[in-house]
Amino acid sequence: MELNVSIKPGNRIRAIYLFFIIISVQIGVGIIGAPRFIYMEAERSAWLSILIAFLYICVLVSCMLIILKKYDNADLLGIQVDLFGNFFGKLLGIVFLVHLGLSMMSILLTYIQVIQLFLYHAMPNLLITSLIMILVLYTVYGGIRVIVGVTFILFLITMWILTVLYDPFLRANWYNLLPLFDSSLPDILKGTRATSYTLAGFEILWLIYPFIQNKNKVRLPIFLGLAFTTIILLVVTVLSISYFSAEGLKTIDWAVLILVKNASFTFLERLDYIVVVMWLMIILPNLTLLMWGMTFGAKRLFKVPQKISIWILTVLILILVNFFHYDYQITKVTDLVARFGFWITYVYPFLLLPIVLIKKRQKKPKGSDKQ
Amino acid sequence: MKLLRLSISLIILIVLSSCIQPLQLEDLGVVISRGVDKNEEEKIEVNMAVLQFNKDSPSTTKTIDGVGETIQGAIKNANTKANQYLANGKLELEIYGRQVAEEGLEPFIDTLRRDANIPSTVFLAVSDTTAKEIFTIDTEKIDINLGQFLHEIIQPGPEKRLFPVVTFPRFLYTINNSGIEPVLPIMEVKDGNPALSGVALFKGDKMVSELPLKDAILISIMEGTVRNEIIEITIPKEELSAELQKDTKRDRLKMTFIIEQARGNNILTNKEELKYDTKIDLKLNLIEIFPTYKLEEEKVINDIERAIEKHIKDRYETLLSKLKELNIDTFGYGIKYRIKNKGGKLTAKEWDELFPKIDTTIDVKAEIIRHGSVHR
Repeated sequence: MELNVSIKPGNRIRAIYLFFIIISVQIGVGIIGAPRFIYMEAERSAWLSILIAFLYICVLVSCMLIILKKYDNADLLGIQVDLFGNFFGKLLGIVFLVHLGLSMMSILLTYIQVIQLFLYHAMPNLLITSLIMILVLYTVYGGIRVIVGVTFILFLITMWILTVLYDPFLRANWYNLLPLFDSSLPDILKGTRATSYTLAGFEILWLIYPFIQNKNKVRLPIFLGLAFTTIILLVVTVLSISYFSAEGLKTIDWAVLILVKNASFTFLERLDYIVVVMWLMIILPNLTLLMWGMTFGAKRLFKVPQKISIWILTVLILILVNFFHYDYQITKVTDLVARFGFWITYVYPFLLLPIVLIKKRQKKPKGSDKQ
Repeated sequence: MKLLRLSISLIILIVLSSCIQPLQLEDLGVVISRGVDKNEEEKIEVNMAVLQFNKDSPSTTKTIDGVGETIQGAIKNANTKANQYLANGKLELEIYGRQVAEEGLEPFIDTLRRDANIPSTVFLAVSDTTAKEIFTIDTEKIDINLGQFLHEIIQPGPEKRLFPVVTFPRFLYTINNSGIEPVLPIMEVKDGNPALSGVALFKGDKMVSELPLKDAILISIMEGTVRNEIIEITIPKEELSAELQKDTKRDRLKMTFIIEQARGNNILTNKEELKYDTKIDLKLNLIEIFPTYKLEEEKVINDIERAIEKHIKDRYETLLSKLKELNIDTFGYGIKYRIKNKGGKLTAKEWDELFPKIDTTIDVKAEIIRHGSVHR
């Protein structure tokens, strides 16, 4: 397996698109229920937890970029093989791909649950998944440039949903946020941990980095993207806390959809139905990027053509979704992703950094010897 | 190949359209309002005002009732009598009978939270007698749908966010919050017409007492910023200043104002002694007064303002002493106490013991910023 990824010039993307990629991959289904999970841990200081999470992620992404910049044009899979040898490197690569797959499953299952709760109670899982997978397959078939294009356009189309939050904003009870700085530090950090599922997704950077055309300009779009997501999560969480009572928020599963339910216009009575369907456009970039990540990873690791692996994965997903019906099963999958993904996304890069630095330092003297 | 792809996608399009059940408008009974009562057998009785889309029907309203152990069960029961599918996606108002409200609303609000179909914009109200009475009035006098009519009694004209509009999320917020107690508007049937008649005071989910409708404005001022509401103030001659008394032979001063802006605020000044300052700011626009005075004179305006301040303050004090007696914290003094409390928490039990002991200084500031297009 080659360490560096060779990419045709026509397949490269400009760094500015990382802004949209980061936002789209971070905002998925997690944000709909996130306020409750953060509030349960950090209570009124949930906003502080989110800000801490943002700072942590900034440090983390810088660390990822340092690692990636040590190589010419490598992705995580190549780096791992380079560091840990062929067998262990590929094994870690598989673990990463499984993580992407599980994230995708949890997104799909949660969205199916929302659809069945809000719109079509009797619609079978298989049907909803097939409809979504048609779109996902179509996009992934187009290659990385189409995926990025879809991400960009759907970002522009969906962001108006935020304006609907004006109504809960006007009805909010701001005293709910007081007293400030009241929760203990361990609780706030637990709240930070509770954001991990919602804010995860930027690990796609490990795979997409080699595709960037102007690598010297990646920092700004990435950090702006992270900040944007954080602001959205912050707004949604603060609104949820001030809109619902403390006891109420702890029992509400889909806080954001309930917030959206408030706005009503004379020409459009139930906006929440539209938002639930629109949410497909929010998770579609998520699903396509994850699907692309898995197929691209399989191609890198085992030279399986993407056209074959994509069908295998689709069939696998179509079979698997039929086994999940209960709320607690889906919660278990999400919990699994949150716990398993926490180590891969939030801790692993810090473990990788010293190894990369040591390895690179060892190589240099060798090179100078040859001269 | 191209033809094959095209035909496959067309077939998919046609086949998929049958995946979702179609519902025609004429087959739908859109429930706009519903009333909830308990009958003699302790079962839930639901009366619904349904919107009619059928062109040939003589009336725009159809009322259907059903009985069941749960609300949704009663709706299902009602569906057996209707030739339409009852859809509650546009529910605008839910009215509870007095008996049900006094026994506690907890069993009835579950489905409002749980059923994602029910909008968050639904209003709640209490009937003075039974909800059934409101839904069985003679609808001939009302030229629009009864459900819509009832909804517009509570909110005539533009959207409002303050009392008497109490949306379900607001009610839920006040029920679950130990520092504030809920209120709902009371409706009654007067001469065959439904009308607002008072304010129901709740303790938790149970209705405990009621206030006359004229106190509703006092509650909305404490809830948030009131704009464009009309307030009628009558002041006996004895309460006016000497100069104003001299100018008139009438026994009282009658005035009506448009409230340009009114807002109330509670401040906890001393936590140990439970001392509160309640500040109320009123900006008023005079639209009717009798007898009239020389309103271009600053002195006259100031004297009337002082009289209004005293009048409003008295009303608040009477109301507050009643609330303290009943131990219902309708104005949310507990919220301010909770913020200063350790850990930012307050249990309902703790506040129940403290609330009757609070000492409130009410400070009203009234400004008559306009007195209409004449000054005399």
